[in-house]
Amino acid sequence: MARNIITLATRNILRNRRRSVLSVTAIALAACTITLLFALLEGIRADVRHNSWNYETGEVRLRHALFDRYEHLNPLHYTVAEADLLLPALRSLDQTHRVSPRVHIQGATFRGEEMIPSRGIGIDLDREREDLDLERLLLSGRLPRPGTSEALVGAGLAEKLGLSPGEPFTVLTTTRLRSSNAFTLDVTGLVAFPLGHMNQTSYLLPLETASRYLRMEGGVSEILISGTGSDTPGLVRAVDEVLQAQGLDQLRPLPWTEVSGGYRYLQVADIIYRIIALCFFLVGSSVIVNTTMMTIHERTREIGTLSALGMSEGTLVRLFFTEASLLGTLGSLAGVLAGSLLVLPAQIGGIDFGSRLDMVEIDISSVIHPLLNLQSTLGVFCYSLAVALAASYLPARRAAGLPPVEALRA
Amino acid sequence: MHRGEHSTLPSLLLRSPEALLLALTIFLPLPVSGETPQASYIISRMEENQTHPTSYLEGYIIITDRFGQRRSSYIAHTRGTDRFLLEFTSRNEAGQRVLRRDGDLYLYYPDARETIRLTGAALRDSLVGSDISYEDMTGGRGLSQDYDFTLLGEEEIHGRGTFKIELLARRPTVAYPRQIFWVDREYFVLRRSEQYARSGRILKVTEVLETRREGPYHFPSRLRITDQTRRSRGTELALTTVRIGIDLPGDIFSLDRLTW
Repeated sequence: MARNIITLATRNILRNRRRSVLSVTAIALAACTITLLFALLEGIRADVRHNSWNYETGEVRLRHALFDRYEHLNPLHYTVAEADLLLPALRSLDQTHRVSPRVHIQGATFRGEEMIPSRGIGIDLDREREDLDLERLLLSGRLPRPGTSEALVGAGLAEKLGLSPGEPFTVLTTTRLRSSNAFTLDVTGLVAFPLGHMNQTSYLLPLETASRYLRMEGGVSEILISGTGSDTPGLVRAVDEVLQAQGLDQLRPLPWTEVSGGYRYLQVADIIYRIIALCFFLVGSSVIVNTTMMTIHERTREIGTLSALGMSEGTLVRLFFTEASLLGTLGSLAGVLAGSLLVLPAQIGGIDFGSRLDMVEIDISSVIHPLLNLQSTLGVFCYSLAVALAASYLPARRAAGLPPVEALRA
Repeated sequence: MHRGEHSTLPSLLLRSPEALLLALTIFLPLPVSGETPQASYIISRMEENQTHPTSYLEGYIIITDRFGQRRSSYIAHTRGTDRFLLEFTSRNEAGQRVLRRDGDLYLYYPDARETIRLTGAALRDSLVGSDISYEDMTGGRGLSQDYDFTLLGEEEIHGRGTFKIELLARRPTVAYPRQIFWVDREYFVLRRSEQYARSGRILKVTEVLETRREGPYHFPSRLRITDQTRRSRGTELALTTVRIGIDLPGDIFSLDRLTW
């Protein structure tokens, strides 16, 4: 019986090929677009996590509890004090892969009479050289040597300041003692940070140099801690236990999901993308509903004949439902495959948003690499199929419910 | 007739007059005894009191903000109408210098290999995080060059009779479009001032806490400046040592000497 219905449904699909192609195309287009959107979202998600963990928050960010409260005032005196004692304890945790102390310098650099805001990040060059893949980011010159007054400057900032490797620049800033200080750094290299806003404003310098100029006296602005990402709450708890053991109640570890601007953006983007996906499916569904209804209208006499010959209402519903299933499966499969094929080259080469993201202060790179995710791709396929079936169910029920006499009279 | 060359109060402590300033004051129109003097005369007398041919100063700044209180000490040398060299001696800022010459402001920091010439928006930054902006330390042509004066009346400030004078800017480039000064009736020394934005919003309030007499000069020696635009409890600026009319090395206000 089931085989007969499938045979009959296939014959009916092939009987009006144009309409069938239209239905399949509508579903395929929706599925393809959503596959692309979800791959882009997945790529952005991976990118935000990578950038946030590397440059902004780590998986867990450790700061003085009052620093966040007064962050707009650059309260450097709320430091992670005596970091040298804390760092070994954090590094000894099983959950941690990377522990990165940072000193941040909010300051201004000068080009003639123009004052240009800049942001220095003091990093442990020996440890972070590989973690941040600095060699790959280097556009020209070389990396700074630890302990020296040397810096890697973002290409955009270097352009604003008219700097090239070998040239000095002076930064005016505020110290931990809430006084002012200025210092001169030599540019050893220009880098292309993955984040556009970092390119325009930031430079990297040795941690100990930043600490010296800001009079940090052993303290750091923050410590970024990263594990595998599989248990962020567990990592927070482990860090908290270390802090309690050392009596450092004034420090507060926060998961990146709470402090990353990029993560919050993703939460919103996820909802928006799902709404967009729904809209695409609604458009696709309307085409399916339309074609199914037209099919039923054209085949009313046939329905009457089948009913008069004894085909039950349930079998008729199954017949139309099977037709829709076949169209839906074909369309969903074609759409997901087409979307995946389109994503693959972009996944390798990336989509370059260029300078459009330069001044966006969220952790999204200028070049996004869409990412195919098996789970979400399968989800798109299943969802496309489900929408196609749901869209055909009511017209099928209506057709099957027609009295045979009335159907034959049509 | 006005030879003092600043526009705002904090620089009053840090600048000096032209060489013949004192002698020329005798030609200023004196009020008839018992008559209320003109506003311009009061301002002139006040400026003459607060500008010195050359001077050596020692003092301190106490900055109080939401995070607590901190103290910085400094020494300063001044000459002529527009030259001063301020050097911080406190541990946190040791060796940092501010030079004003020919209307320009230069900053020197021991950790920097180049001096910073402050212009434009950078002048609005605060001096070592205090309520005093670098802009407060600029100026250059004397109040009468930049402002019109109106005597609003007389008021008592901290038990002293004062003239209340409104200063309205003649040109838009000055730091404060409107100021009100309360000048001591007897000594022609400032007792209080308020600075306003063009919108009428109050920007800064200066309270003179102590005055000092050195020879013919009577000037504020301790005052509190409060920036009303931020949650500040004020910056206290004081002079502990004042030597007027001293000999200064010829190159003390040079850029070479600044980094020396």
